[in-house]
Amino acid sequence: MSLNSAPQSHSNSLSESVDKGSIKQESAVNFDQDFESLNSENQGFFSRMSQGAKNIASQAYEGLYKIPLVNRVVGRIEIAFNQSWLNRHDKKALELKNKMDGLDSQSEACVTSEKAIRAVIENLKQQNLPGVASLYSKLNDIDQKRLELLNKKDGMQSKCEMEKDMVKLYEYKRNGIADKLIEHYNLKLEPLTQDLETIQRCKDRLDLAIADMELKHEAKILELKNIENTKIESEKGLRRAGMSEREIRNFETVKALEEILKQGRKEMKSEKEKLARRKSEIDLKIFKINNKISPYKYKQAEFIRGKERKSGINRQSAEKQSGEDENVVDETQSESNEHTEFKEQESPHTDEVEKNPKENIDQPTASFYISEWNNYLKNLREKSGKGMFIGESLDQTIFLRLATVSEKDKLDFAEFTKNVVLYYKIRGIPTDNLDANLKNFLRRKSKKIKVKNK
Amino acid sequence: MTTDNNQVHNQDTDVEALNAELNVLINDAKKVNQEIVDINYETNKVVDAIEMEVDQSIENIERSLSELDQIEKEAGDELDQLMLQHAVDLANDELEDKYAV
Repeated sequence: MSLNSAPQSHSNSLSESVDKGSIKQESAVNFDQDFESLNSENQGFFSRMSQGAKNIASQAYEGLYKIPLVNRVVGRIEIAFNQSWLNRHDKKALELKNKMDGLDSQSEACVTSEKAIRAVIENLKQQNLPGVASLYSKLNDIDQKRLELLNKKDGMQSKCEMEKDMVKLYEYKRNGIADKLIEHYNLKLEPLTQDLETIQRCKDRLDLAIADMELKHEAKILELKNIENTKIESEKGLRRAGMSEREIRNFETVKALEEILKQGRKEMKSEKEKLARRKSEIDLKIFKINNKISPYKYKQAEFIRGKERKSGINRQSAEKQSGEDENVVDETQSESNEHTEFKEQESPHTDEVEKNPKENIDQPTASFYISEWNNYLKNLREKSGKGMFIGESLDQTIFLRLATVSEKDKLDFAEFTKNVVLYYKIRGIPTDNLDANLKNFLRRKSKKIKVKNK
Repeated sequence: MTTDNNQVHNQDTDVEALNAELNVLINDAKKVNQEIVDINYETNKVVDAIEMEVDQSIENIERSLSELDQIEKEAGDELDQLMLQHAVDLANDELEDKYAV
């Protein structure tokens, strides 16, 4: 299926002006190949995507088709954790930060002008000179401009917040999928290991059973040999009794005995061969299943490695960025990188304070906020007050994952608020009156929070 | 003549005795053969049980792997969906900035 040739939906919200000449023929081939493994639903979605979105996705998916089909999910994990997604946000955050800095400079210039004009007005007033009215008008203009600048900055600040939310939401969903996959892998591969152990034990038991049979056969071979030796002695007796070799060979009991001895030995030989065949068949089955499992074990390790390695790259990149752009790095982005870093560094051997750069001993812990907020909601529900936000209680696991903190990590109220809003948005719970209730919650709990701070 | 007759008689007696001895050996050999059959039967019973256990474990493994394939496919589709949606969000964002006043 040629995805590029798929019709663009003009009615859908994703459409934008398409620069049809922007993609070369050659890269378009790979472009299609990279996306050929999408399922029909995603292919449909892809075909409706704007060219800009396709280009972004194409950069991320580049070369996926080169990965063997069996390992494509590993490739997808690699892509999902690729730094290129965050680089775009990095760039955007930096641009916004620069713009906001520019607005700050303009705002400061306004303040300086205002001061200068006020000084002139004062001077004119002292000297009873005319022109004060026009200067006041100028002051109003400057005020108006400053207000506009502040509004613009507020808008950009909101944009920053949205960017941050977008990254967090993406990371939350991506980590959720990866964690679910890893969890399922662990869940399914664990009993599988037990099955493999059972098979190994079976293999050992089979070897033992065959060895045991061979040992018993050895004993029977000896018994048959003894019988044969006795038969030889009897044949000597027959010879002494005057029977010729031919007569002995044709002597019924001798013939019958020889036949029985032959039969016994044949029985053992054929059983040995039969069991050797069965053993090699079982060995082949075991070999095949082991071979079949190997890629899954590899993938299990790769999922974890992919997730950790990519998070590691994010951290290095964040450190590099903070070094290069120390003065301009946007708080949003650095915070976003901190989340990744923080999650990455979680280790039982890591010191708590070092582990969390947001550690602040003056703040309550995340779990404290969660339990207090849930108590607050419980009280609300009991009162059933009209116009009150009756949201569901926070699920600690989900909240902590979303906020990328552990239960013992300290949070300031702003961080808690921000993550509560995001939590309910993600859970699809209406957030009417949520702001008012968060303020109310802070008012009621402020004493407790202070007590806790001490 | 009597001596010859005696000799023939003795030889016949020897042959009969040897024949009886050989019949005993036949019975012994048959018994050993039966024991071999029993050993083989018991061994086969054990091997059958082992093979059944191996097959059962392989079946369990195959089932788990097939479930993992499905889980992988679903996760892959979810990741695709997430990344495509993110690409759309980013593209819309860039477009919004481009035309922002």
